[in-house]
Amino acid sequence: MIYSKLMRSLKENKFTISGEIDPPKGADRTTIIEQAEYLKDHVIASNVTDNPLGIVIMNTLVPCFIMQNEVGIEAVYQVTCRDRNRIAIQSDILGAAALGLKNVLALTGDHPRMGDHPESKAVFDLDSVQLTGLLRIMIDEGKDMAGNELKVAPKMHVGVGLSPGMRPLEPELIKFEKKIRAGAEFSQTQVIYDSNILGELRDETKDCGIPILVGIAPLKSLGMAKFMAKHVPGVVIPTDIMQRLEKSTNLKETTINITSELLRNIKEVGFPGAHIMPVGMDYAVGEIINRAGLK
Amino acid sequence: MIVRKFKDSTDICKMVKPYKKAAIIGCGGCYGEGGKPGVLKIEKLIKETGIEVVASGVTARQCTWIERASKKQLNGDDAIITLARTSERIKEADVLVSLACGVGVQSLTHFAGKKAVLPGFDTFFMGLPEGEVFKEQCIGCGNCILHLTGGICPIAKCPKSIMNGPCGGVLDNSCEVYPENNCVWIDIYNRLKDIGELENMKIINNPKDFSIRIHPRSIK
Repeated sequence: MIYSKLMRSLKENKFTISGEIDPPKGADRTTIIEQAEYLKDHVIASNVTDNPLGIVIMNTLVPCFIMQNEVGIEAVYQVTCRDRNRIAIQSDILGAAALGLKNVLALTGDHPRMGDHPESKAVFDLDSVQLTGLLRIMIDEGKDMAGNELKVAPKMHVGVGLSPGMRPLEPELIKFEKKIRAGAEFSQTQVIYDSNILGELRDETKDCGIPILVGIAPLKSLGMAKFMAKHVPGVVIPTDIMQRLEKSTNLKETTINITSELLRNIKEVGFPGAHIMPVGMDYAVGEIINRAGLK
Repeated sequence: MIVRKFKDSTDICKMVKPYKKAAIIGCGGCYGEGGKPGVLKIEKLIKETGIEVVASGVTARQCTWIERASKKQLNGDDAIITLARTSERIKEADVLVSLACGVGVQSLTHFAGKKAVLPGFDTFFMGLPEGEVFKEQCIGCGNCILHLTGGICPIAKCPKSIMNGPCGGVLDNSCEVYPENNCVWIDIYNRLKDIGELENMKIINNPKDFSIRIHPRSIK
């Protein structure tokens, strides 16, 4: 059964692009609408993050609902194990399904020590592999984790993360294969800027059996590129990209060009889709896709 | 071993302030300055606050006292005098300062009668030395999976206690939460490869049963 536009697009072998919006730090709903409006005509679905790095922002479910119902972009509901035990997660999944959400991305989540509340108690009752298995029980068997019957089962597609730049790569691939065995139906990856990593990912996952949407994010400045290369695990930024940013006289143009080239390359290498994290450049997502020739 | 560390000396002084006569019971077991040098250090500190130290002694493992005292049919001050080899003057003390882990301190409480019992240490974890630092090895989860993980525990050594492989936060083999530590899953992966048991990493470990971890736990 196919429940979502995202999954249908992938099944129909169309090159599929998902976006991402960040819930606001505050009770303001307008930024949700603003971000979503920029993405509306360009992506088939959009993720909503779950307090990334453990930084307190609005509850993921709310922007998912607003974006899907008021703007018309299908949501990919990101769920992490950092703040909720198995009771709270199952409860939220039932609520998400009742709100009409059709895709969920199962993640372990960043440790709270990385965020703005480092003193908080981390939960991690489950990890991403176990969460994937739990979602399958709810969706396929119509039961909760304790084996109790759910009156109406949630109908959603389960996605998982993948970090293709991790070194050594093999332990990450072993875990990814476990996520697939646990019941993952699609994957969205950490950002890839390096064509060697992209090629390696294609070779290593060509028989994995689930579609992979390769992550990209516009590099807004040389500073951001340098920061990511140094501090974000698994991110490699090739010298030529660094040089283009360094020599650029019109940074916005350069950034859009680099990102659209990366996007085109993802398709040419043979991946079924891409996941664009706009990191504040929501307004440029349409242009990035246009220039990649993927409109 | 149980890793312990002296409490801040200001805190120790504050704790003993309300009392008049103190006795110090050191514990030489596990890690920490619980033996003779630690006892002398704390004795000096307490004396500086103007409180008399009437007796002191050191035991091998304060946590074994209940069993040992019962065999010898000893109670109260008599048990302390015998097991920590202190002087009879301990009977005058109105407070006992224990240089043991939290388990040892509570073992001493059994023999304290009307005397107050104070901890001289903060108790941290079950760990091993790695160079000059001690690192946590086991959280006592009650459901050991070390046979599947090359004898290295991800429950104690991964900040997220992930049971199924590394997270996306591995940077140059390091854990992003504690960059001074290797990612335990990379260590497990290397170890399993070395011993030809990498297949074990492919096993999906199911969620833990936390009902066996509800405090206070008992076991028969």
